[in-house]
Amino acid sequence: MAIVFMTSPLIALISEMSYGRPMKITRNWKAVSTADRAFQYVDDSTLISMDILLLEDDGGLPEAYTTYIRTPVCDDTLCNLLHIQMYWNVLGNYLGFDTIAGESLTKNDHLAFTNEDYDKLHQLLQDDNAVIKRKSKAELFDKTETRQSEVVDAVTGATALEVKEAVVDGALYSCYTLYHLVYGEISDRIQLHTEELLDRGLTEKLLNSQYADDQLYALKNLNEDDFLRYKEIILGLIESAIPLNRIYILKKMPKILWQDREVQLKLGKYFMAMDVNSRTYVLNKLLDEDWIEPQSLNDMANCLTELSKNQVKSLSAILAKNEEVIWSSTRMRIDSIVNGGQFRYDYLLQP
Amino acid sequence: MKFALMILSIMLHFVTSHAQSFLIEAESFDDKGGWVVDPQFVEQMGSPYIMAHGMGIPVADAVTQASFKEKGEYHVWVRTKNWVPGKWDPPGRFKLQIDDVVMEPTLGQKPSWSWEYAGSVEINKKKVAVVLKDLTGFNGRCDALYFSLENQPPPHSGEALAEWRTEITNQKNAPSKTKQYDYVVVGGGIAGCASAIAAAEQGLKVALIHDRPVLGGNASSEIRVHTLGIYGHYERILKMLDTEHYPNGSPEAHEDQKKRDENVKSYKNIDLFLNWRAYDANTENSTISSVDARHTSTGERIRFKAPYFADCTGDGWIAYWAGAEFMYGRESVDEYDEGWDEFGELWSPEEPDGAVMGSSVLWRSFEDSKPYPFPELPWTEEVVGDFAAKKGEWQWEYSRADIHQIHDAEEIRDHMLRGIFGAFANQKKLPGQENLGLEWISYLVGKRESRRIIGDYIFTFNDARNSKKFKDSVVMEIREVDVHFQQNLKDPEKVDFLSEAMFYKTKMYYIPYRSLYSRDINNLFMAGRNFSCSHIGLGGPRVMRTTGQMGAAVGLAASICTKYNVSPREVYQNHLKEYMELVVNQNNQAKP
Repeated sequence: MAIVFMTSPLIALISEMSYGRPMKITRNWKAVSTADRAFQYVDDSTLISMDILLLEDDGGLPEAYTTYIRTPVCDDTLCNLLHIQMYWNVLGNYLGFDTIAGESLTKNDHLAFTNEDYDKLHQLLQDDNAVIKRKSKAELFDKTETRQSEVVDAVTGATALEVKEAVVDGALYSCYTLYHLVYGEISDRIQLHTEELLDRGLTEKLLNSQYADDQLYALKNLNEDDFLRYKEIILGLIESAIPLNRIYILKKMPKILWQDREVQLKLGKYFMAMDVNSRTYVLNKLLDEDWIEPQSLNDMANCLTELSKNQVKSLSAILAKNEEVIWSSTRMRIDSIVNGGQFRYDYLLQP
Repeated sequence: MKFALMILSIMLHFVTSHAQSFLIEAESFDDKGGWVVDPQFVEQMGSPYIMAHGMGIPVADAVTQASFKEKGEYHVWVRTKNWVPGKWDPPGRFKLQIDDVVMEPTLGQKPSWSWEYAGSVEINKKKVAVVLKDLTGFNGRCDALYFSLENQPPPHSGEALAEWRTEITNQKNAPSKTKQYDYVVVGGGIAGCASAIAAAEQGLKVALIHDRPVLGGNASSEIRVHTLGIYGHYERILKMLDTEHYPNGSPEAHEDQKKRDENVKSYKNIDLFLNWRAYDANTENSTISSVDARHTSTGERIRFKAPYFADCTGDGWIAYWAGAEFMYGRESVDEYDEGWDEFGELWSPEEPDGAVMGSSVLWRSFEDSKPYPFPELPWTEEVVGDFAAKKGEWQWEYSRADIHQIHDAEEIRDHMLRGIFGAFANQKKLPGQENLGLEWISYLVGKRESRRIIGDYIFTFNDARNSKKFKDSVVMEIREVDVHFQQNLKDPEKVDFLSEAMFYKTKMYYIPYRSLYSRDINNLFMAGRNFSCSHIGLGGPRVMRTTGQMGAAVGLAASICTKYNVSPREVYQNHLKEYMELVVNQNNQAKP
């Protein structure tokens, strides 16, 4: 395990440091050879100052942020100092952590964290919508009686049981403190810092990233010209992205690309593997388009048996609107499905 | 006496077009056995129907006595559907028995609602028992039966069927029975109940129309969502209606049901119409003169006249029929400046769309004292995969871009049922689950979001996050703004019927009275999830103590309207001081 010990006085040395793979990490770790101080953060409640360092990949592009956290963790009677090296990705989302030599995390009874405890902490920190996120400390440690079986819609949200299941047993205070440090102001300021660094190189890096949050961040910063410039990457994402990102792309894609033959061919090709919401969007969008590539129409018609009822209605409308470009083989294929007696929505396509 | 009632009942239920052909509405069967009446989808498929909701165990027969004026060979059609068409035996199969003859065809076979031919039968006497025999316990459904000496089925669907049905059930004319009230509340959820009580306490004669046998809507013992939110100015009223904080789906809902029903019924000037579903709002010059409603079993109709109406239907049906403008779907983030970077597109999209919060169907299992067998269910596999569960809480929620929470509600409910049965079947395959049994599954869709009727003010997220106060603040809330998204948007490997919540913490926020009456219809209030708000604006106040506050607020406004013979808007314009005094003093008043 690579352990890097950094505090403000050492800031002059940090640009020389290299960072190995942290103990817990959500992503593939790329070697980072340089580090610059991005900004300084002072925790309001403890007045402890932290240097947030920018880590770069071997191409000199931003890769991650890190800081050495030393913070008091208090329960009703005692305060202990917690030491940990924390990592964020360039969007300010949790990336991982590392322990500090001689400074293991401890639980209430002063026992050191086990490997399972570190796993649990890592699991908690990966959940950007964890149950303790919306709890104030006062609510979290509310002593009023709660029902064990209680699970509620929304508001009051978590119960003692839910919180207990989410955190490391015996380390509620540490988990809570770290979670709110990771997802608090530091995260917001990292985003702002990255925003200033966002250039074509970083945009391309993020678009080509395998991680959904990177992709979406970059996509949100694209304008119409960028969509044309990165057409090939965009098409790749339509094929491979998570549904949230795919639908975002489809909604944002400029009209000129919807009219692009290559784009329509790819949409047809990927159609079968798309999530249901993206399929719906593609169908409704193509229904409004003046022109449709016959091959795409054929490809989508081949997915007929996989469509939902309302999607079948949309496809039927597209077919009716584009009758003159429907291949005879496509027509035969549809007829055989409709007349085959096996298609659940055949009645929607019958004259 | 009982016999005489039965004859009367038969006369009501059997609607004859010609001497030799007639229709029997299944929901009007004398003895429905274990079949339940389902009126949720009337606007989509044409009628209430009955359903064999046996959780996998065939339900008891539904039986009625049919009267035949002529002897002869009758052809019989049954309007039904295969609710999970596919390469498996339809799950909702049933048989028709006429006297002692079980008709050969198995019914519930065709996808979509249609008339399935049940064969012909020789009728040699005037009274014949008609029996629906459930074969599976898995939600077979029957809308109606048509007997005819002619071998000519009724129209298949659409307008032709609707017209035929109107004709054969003699419903072309206005309802013959008319009732006059000061205030008509449609929808007996918490908002509707609170509105009826608040108005009744001010001396108005109120009709409360509700399409279920019990009050409370999503909070009822039939759906079992507990109430959340604060009481605001209406603690006394809302405590008559709300629930304890039990887990959603808990049978403890029955206790609160009893309390709620008794409290509403205790008001002498509330006429309660349970099992009545409104189907039209007669409107001229942007003013509703009456609402027509039909009994969900007998088909009897009543026209309700009043100077003021409240749309507490949840789906905004009264406003829709009256021609009021409404919103549906997610607005773009810029429409009302409702962005929240933390959740970005999941919270509020750059481009508007129709992906609203979904509907839930709650369910529970229990540990039986003996083995509880449960079959393999191939018709659930494409929905659940290997996902296993033993109960369904609020996260069991379904929404999709191509389905509409109103128009496609039956598909939503059925998809949830597949998810529930499939997840339970998978759970049963796990070790040590031999005695696990199904305790309860709702068959009613618990909706979160549907039409939002536009009022003089549209409540948005910013009103909540900025704690904006209004001079007509009649509802207050501290509950977080809580908007849901489907889990499979972020992880396509997840089953598609689970959601996740996003919480935005707020301080106290307020809803103005101007969000509680229609901008377009002169005498229409609204309370409940169909109030005037944006998609994100709905996120906080959609829970039922808050909607109850809305209901009470408009009930009180109706009393001011009545007192001065003015419109809801004029209450704001000319009588606000008096109205607000009435509102803020509510908790100081004893029940009359």
